[in-house]
Amino acid sequence: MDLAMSNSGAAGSGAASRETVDRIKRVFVSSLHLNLTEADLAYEQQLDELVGLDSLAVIEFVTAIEKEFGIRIEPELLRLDFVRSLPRLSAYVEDRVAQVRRFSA
Amino acid sequence: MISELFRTAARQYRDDLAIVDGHQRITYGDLLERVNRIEERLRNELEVRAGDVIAASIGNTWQFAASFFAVSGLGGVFMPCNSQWRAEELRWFAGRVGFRGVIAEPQFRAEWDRVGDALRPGSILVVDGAAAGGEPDVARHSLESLRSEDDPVLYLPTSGSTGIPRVVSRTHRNLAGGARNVAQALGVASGLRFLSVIPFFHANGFHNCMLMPLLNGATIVLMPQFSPAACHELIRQESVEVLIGSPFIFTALVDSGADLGLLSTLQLCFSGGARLPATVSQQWKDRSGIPVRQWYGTSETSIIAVGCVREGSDSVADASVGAPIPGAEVKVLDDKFMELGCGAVGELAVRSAAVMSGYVGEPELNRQVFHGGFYRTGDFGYMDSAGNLYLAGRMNRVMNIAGVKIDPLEVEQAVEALAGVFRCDVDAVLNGRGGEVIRARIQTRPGFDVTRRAVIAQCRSRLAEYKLPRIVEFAETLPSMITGKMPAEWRRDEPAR
Repeated sequence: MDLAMSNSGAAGSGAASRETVDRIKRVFVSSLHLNLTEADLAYEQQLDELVGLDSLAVIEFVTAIEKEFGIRIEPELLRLDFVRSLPRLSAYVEDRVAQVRRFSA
Repeated sequence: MISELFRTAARQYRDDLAIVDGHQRITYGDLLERVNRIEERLRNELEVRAGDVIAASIGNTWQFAASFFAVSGLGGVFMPCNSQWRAEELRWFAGRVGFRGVIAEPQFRAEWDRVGDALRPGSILVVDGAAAGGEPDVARHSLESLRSEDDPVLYLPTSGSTGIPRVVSRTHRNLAGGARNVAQALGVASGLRFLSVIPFFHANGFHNCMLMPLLNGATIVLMPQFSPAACHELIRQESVEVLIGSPFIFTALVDSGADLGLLSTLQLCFSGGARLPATVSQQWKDRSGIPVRQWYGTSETSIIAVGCVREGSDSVADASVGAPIPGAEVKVLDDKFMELGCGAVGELAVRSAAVMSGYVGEPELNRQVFHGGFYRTGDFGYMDSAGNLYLAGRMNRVMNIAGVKIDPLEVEQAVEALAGVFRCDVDAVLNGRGGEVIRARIQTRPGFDVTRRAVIAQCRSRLAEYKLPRIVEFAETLPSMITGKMPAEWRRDEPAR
C-alpha cells in the first residue's frame, strides 16, 4: 500500500529475509490457533488464502507480531488489505525492527 | 417520538459536546443542524415518506447518528447494515425488506452498486465526512408526528437458526423505554464521556454507545477502527469515563501490555456480547483499578441484566451476568413454559418496554418466540436466590462469535455448494484465550479432492469475512448433528452465550 511505503521508508526497496517471513508465518499460525503448519503456508504470498481473516483476527495477529518483534505497528495499518500480503508485511516489519535498533543504538 | 426526544435533549444541551469524531468536536446544537441537513437531503433526493425503510452503511461516525435521527424525524425506519456484508447479503435484505433508499459512506458505495435491481435506480445517498453546512433548527413540519409510538423506527438484522437471517423490528416505544431503563441502571448523567468503539450496526453499539448517551446529554468519543494502542491513547486524550467493550476488546487491551494504570479517568467499564474470561477480568481490575461489569442482552431485547460489583468483595470474576435491570422482568421456563424456581436451569424469557415487537414478516415465528407476553431468548440459564442471572448455553445451534450471532447453517450451505463437498458441519470451538472461533468439518465425495483454499474462496465469494471458518478440517465421516434440541446434560461452567 502507498501508505505503508511512505511510512516505512526503505520497506519497498527489497525483499525481506526468509527468516522474517518464516517467523511471521509461525506467529500467524500460533496467534490465531489455526490448524495449519508453517509448511502449509510454504508457497503462500497472501495469508488469507487458507483462512477467514476478519477485523478481530487482524488485531490479534498484529498484536502478536508486535510482541514477537518488539515493534509497534501504526494503527492505520491494522487493515486486512495490508497484513494479508506476506511480502509487504515482512518488509514493513524488518524496517520497523531496524528503526527500533537505530533508536536504541 | 425518538426524533422528538433527541431534539429535546439537543435544545437542552445545545452548547455541550455531543460527539468527538476525529478532529471534529460537535455540540448538540451542531448535531441538530446536521440532522436537519440530512433530513432535507432524504426528503429531496430520496423522497422519503413515513414508513419507508432506509438501509445505512455507515461506520462509527457522526453521520451514523445524524442519519438515524433524520430518518426517524421523517417517520421512516432505519436499518443499519454490517460494513462487511457482500452484495449478495445486501441483496437478500433488499429483497426481504424493500428499501426506499440507502445512506452510505463513500467506501461502501461500490458494494451497494453491485446489488443491482433489488434497489430503485438513483436511491443511494452518499454522505461524506465533511461538516456540510447545517440547516438551522426552525419550526418544521415533522412527519414523525404521523407515526404512532408503536410503529417501527429501527430494523436490526440478526442471525436466524434456519440459514435465513431475520430482521428485528423495534418501535419508538421500545427504543425510548430501553434507553431510559439502561441509563437508570448504569447511572448515566449528562456530560459523561463514553468511548464508542462497538460498531453502531450491532445492537449493543447502537443502543448503548450511540442512542442512550445522545438522549441523555452525554458525550460520545468515536473510534471507527479499534486497535489497542489507539484505544488507550484516545481514552487518555479525551478523558473518557465510560468504556463499553467486549471480551475481545478487554482481552486485546490487557494483552497489548499497555499501562492500564494511566487510564485514570475511567469510572465505568462494561463488557457484553459473550462471557468475559475470568483471567482477563482480574488482570484488567488489577492493572486499571476499575472492575469490568458484564452485562447480558440480545438484539431482540437490549440489555436485560447488568453485573454489579459486590461490596467488600475484591472478586469481579463472577460467573453471573448480574441482576435484571429496572423495568426488565426475567423468568426461567421449562419446556412446558412453566416457571422454574431458584437454581433450576431453563430457558430465559424476558418482558420489558424494550423488547422487540417481532421479526419482520415472520408471523409464525413471532407466535413461537413470545409466550404470555415474554420473549423467549433461546438462551438457557438460571437465577440464584439473590436474583442474579447465570447463563448456561444456547437452545439452538446459533454461534456467538465475539458477540455476533452467526447461524452455522448459513456457512454450511455456502460450503456444501462447492463441488465435491458431501456434507459440512459448522460449530464454534474455543480459541485458547477464552473466545470462540468458527470450525468447519467437511466430508468430501469419493474421488473429489477439495482443498482448504477452495473452501475459503467459496465462502469468501458468498459471505462476509466474519462468517468464514478459521478452522477447516476434513473428515472421512461426520458425527450426526444435534439440531436445536435441548442438550441432555448441562455444564454450568461452559462459556456463556
